[in-house]
Amino acid sequence: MKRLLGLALLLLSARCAAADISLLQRFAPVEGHIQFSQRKQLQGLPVALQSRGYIELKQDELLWHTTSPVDSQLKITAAGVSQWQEQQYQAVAGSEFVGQLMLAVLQQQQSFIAEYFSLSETSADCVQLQPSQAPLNSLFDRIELCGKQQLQQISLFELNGNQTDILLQQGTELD
Amino acid sequence: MIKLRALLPGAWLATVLAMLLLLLWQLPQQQWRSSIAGLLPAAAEPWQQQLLEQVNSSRQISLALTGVPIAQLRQAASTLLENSAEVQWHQPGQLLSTLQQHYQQHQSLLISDKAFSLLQQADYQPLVDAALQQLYSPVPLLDGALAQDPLLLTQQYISAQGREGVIPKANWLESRDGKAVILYGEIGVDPFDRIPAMQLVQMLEQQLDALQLSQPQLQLARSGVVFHAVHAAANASFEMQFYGGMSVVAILLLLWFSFRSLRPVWLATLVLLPAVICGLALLVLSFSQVHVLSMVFATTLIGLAVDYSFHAMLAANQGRLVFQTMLPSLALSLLTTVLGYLVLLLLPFALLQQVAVFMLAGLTAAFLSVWLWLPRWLTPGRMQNNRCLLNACSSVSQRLDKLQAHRVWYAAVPVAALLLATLVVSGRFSDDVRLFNQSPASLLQQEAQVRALGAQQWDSRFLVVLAPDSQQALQAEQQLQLSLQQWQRQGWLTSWQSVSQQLPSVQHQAEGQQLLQLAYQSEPVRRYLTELGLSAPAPRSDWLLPDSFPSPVVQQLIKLDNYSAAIVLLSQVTQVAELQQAVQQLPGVYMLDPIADTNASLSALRSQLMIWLAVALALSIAVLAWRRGLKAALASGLILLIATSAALLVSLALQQQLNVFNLIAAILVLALALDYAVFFTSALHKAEVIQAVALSAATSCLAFGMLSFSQTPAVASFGITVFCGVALSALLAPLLSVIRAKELNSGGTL
Repeated sequence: MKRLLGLALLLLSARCAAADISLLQRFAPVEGHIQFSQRKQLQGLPVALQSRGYIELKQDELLWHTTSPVDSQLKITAAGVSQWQEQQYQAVAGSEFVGQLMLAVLQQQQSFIAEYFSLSETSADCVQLQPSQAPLNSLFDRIELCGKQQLQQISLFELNGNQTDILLQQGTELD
Repeated sequence: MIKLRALLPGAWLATVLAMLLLLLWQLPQQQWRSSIAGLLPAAAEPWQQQLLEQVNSSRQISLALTGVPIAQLRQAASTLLENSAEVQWHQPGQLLSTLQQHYQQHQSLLISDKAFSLLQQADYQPLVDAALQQLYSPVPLLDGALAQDPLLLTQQYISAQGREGVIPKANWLESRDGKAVILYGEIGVDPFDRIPAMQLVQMLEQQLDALQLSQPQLQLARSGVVFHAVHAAANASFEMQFYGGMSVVAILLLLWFSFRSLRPVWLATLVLLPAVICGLALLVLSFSQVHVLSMVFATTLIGLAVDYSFHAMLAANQGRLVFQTMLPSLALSLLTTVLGYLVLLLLPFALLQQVAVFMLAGLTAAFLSVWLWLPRWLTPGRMQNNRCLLNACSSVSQRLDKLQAHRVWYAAVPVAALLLATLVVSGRFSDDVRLFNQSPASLLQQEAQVRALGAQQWDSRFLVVLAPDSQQALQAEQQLQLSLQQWQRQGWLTSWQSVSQQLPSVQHQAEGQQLLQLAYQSEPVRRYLTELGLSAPAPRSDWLLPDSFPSPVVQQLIKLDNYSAAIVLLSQVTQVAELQQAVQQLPGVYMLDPIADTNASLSALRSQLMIWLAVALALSIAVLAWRRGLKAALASGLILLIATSAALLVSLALQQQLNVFNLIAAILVLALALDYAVFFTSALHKAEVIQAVALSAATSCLAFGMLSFSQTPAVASFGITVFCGVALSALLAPLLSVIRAKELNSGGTL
């Protein structure tokens, strides 16, 4: 009897995990050249910071180019984030998991997301990712992915109260 | 007087038994060491010695896992961490996180060199641009960054940290290409404490074997002093047992061949056992930590002690009178050998002192056993000499009788001069301390592999900044950064690690705060703050201090008796001489190179040994002149010179370079050759002396010859020189019998 119960629980948890990941399947993986606009609300700042730029997404590599109001380039890979400084990309220490997170979210890397997050549906168009492991759970409270058939908005809610909203469509701007 | 004489054998037996009991009590508690460095002469300055004792990376170990995909590497690493509680594994991710949290609470106190320089130059726009880039990137900010450090200088400082090539994870490091996982930690035992270190390595190897079995494609690389030390200790222990055992077997066979009886075996054991017991007892009484290598060299006691028993057996077999006539020569031989080992006792080299104590006690015990016990256990005529051997010795003796003394002189003098001149001209010495322990190629390869992954990258040489207190040391080290950057640009070194790179001095932090306050008043920064709606924070005074700094780097800040020392670790120094010269120009900065310093000490020791070798030779000639007359003493000196020089030249030819252990062996050649010289210049029957010396030389050559095969270069050097020297001495010493000896009539008793 106990064995049957254990087996049933195991099958149930596997089914739940499978159901979690299936929430992401509504979004097609992002690829190629994408315009973005970003709105960043930081604790201690009375106004949100707005910026614009584009993302170039190749296999396992993401170029984050902010064009306005500052010009800055970030190269994001699974090894971490590198910033363009003094004519070369210089690694930003401690950013490995953030780099992996960005790639995983944009490319819908289900294995990474399943390992580090628990998923739930917050609305018809949005999926919430709750970090379950260090170091992400020491940086982020939650991450929300929203869109209909394609990923259109990523919202990063940091534990310190900072919030970053990234819209992924050309010509779309935040208020 | 007669009564006292009669009590002596019993008293000696009681002494030996007491020594045995002492040994049985002390031996289990004895610590056996295998590190050579600790036995060498101390560093020149007291603060250097104190520093070297505290700077001890010998307990660190690293394991690199490669060969399978990263997921399997992580699994293997996790399994290893769970099953190896005997190692305190570091948690680099946790360390970094703790450090970053500490920095988070002290934002604006930590400013990069580049940002500091911009503040000093009042060039504020680049700082504002960098802060804006940081603000608009998706990477999270430190908590409270804008309130404490609106220019985000500490955030940028942290972003610039991190090792090249490795990423700190929670419990290990990973290479950036995802092909390697590196575990690093510290062991709780002294790697040179033989038994605990061997147990630890054994347990670790069991776990590594289990891992390898479960994942055959997994490749493991080990790094750490403990692996090398355990290998060296196991090697030395095996060689001590192996060569000692082989020596005993060879000697037993030789005795059986010579006498066709077990009685000589028993008699030899009667002399040898007390020698070993007394030697070992005095050694453990005199030294709290005995080096394993001293026991390897002390296997020579077997050869020397059995030599005494040969002389005594052959003499006692011919009656009490012959035995009593032989004793003064044996005593003289003991005296000259003791003088030779006393030379070692006076040198500041603990290993040699241990060998000397063991041998002095052992040889004295051997002599006393011969004198007090042997005649009681051997009835005259009881032993049957091997006829062939006896005839051969008689034949040699007869041939020697026909030789003229002046021919011996005419040959010996030029030969000795030629050999000595050749040695002086062509002699080359290597004073590399790494001769003492030879690690196997596989271990060295694994070490190199781990270093290449970037986890174990520091050279053995390092810089020391000395100052009256830790803050002044930090400040001086901070000023050294400019020189280090310049040396790096010049290609003298690749990188370095210093405390001030993570923890600036209070003075530097205070200066940074003053510069920031000026920056906040500048036009570019005021505009930046206004646009963001921020106000300039007040200057901080809650400084970052060593006592509360949560990073292992503070271990490089050391409190000495009268100073504080900040250590700068160096990586891949290519221009050692130039660096040394540049450092000498900087007050309060020193470069310490333990290996080079040890080699220099070894070189000085070698020079001392060469002088003492000459002194020992002169002393021996003086003692022989006293007992045998000047002619015999000088002739003996020539034979000793030929034997020693030839042995060293043969060693030079085989090794390409001589080392300090060849010289130690030369002292022992001297001692053994003197023994032969003493007997061949005596009035004893020549044929029996030839037989005794032949047997003695054969056993010694067997013992030392085997040492030549040792995997430890130092031991092999020793073996080659002694083998050649003893063989040559045994061949040449009979020539001394043609020189008439004048032996003082001492009545044949002591």
